Amino acid sequence: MTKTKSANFSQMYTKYLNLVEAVRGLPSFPSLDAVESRMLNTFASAWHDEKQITVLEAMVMLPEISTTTAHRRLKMLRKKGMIDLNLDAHDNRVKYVVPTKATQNYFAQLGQCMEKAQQV
Amino acid sequence: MDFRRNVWAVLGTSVVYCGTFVLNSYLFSVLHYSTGTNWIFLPSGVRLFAILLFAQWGALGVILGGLGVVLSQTGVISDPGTVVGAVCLSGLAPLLARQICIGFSQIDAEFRRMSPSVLLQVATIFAATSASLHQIWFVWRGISDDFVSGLLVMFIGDVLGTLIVLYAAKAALSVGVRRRGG
Repeated sequence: MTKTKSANFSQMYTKYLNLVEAVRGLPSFPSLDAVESRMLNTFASAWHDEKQITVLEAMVMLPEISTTTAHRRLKMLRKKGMIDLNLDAHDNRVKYVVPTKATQNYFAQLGQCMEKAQQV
Repeated sequence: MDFRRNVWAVLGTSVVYCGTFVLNSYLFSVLHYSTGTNWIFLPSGVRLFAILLFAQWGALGVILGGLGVVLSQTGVISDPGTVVGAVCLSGLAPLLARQICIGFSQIDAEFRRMSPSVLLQVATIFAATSASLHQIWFVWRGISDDFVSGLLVMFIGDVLGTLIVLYAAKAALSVGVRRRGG
């Protein structure tokens, strides 16, 4: 293979790789804002320890935001499919905040990004 | 560039473009607005990839694919000149858009500056250029009497079609990574 051909193939492959990376980086829906992200990360610690979080507990887990804001954000997270609410088996007044598959995928993606960052 | 690779680029693009055109007709026929104008147009995404990766060879592939679609239609085409002109614009307009992007430094030869946001900007420029030139052509040929509406619908159709193709590619890449155990 001549040097020019080799350079052309190399440029072609570089173009392809950069385009693929741009496609991979396209924003995923639904996107989370900083507060929603923080809430999910806080819940994640409790879920990891297999603790159940009630809605009332979730509303006070982030002391820097008001309970009204927290409640609103919980509703947004539910609307975006990131959390679900399960009724307590014995008391219908109690609802537990549980992760959905979307949340699990979200944390898996974050884990992949961290792994990639460590490899660089 | 290698001749064989160019031939494969042209043939591959024309087949995929033709196939996407047929798929678009099958899936979104209810979203047809007017002659050559649709609310969702999947082939615009194929055009974007083809011209970005293969430049003029991708454009030739798009033109040949478009001609293939026209020739596969049954019945007599009442205005072959307009149709052929529109098919040629399908390949030439994105090529012009590519030059515009290079001129405004959106993209470089190796796409080093190709971030996701730049890719979306480039896709928008491609859609705007294609819609503008096509609608000018249709008005000039007398098959459209509402330039603004046609332009808006075609632009939206190209953008939506491109987004669908981009996210389909993103999903395909994610599946590929998961299968490789990434």
